[in-house]
Amino acid sequence: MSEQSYPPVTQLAMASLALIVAGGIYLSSHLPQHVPLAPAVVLLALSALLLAANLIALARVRGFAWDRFFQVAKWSFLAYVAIGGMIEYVFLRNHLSGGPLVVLTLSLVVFSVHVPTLVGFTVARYYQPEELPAAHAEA
Amino acid sequence: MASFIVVGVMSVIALGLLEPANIAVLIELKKPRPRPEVIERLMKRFIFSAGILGVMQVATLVIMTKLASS
Repeated sequence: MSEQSYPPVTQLAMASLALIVAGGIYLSSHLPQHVPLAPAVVLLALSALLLAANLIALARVRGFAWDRFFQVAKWSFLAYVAIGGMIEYVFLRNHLSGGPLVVLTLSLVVFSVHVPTLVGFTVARYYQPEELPAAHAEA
Repeated sequence: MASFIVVGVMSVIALGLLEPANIAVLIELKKPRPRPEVIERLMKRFIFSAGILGVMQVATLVIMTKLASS
């Protein structure tokens, strides 16, 4: 198995998800009462920062199987957009508005981008370019 | 507070480790020549994740029991 070194994409993504989940739990545990937004905004900003760092680190990997990555990530992204859309609908249906709605919506955006990135990365890191020729030769 | 931690840990592990490993194993198995070493590595991750999720489910039971009896 090829042992190409990769940046810590999984670790960063899990840290980012943990921050998003913490922010979401913090907000939802206070609602519908008034909730100070500062902690949630800080958690969201840190999470978005980790997402950006992750994408930049991944973009700098040489010889990464981007075809395979996008092949998996695009369908995963579609699924998570649907999930995020349903969660957003629940927020609106429960008359959430103002700052908490903005923070939770942006959290959903980070969530909907980061999980597909992680799924695509996990699949693409084990891709071997010689797979296709071998498969064709066999057929 | 404990239930928030349990929910957080479960969701992060399920979304961050379990689901990507599951999909990667499925895609590896679809290849004409699946590599056992890749599946082994991914399944190790799967087993660790499932173990932690099991512990969290026991924690959920404990929390529910405490809430019901208090």
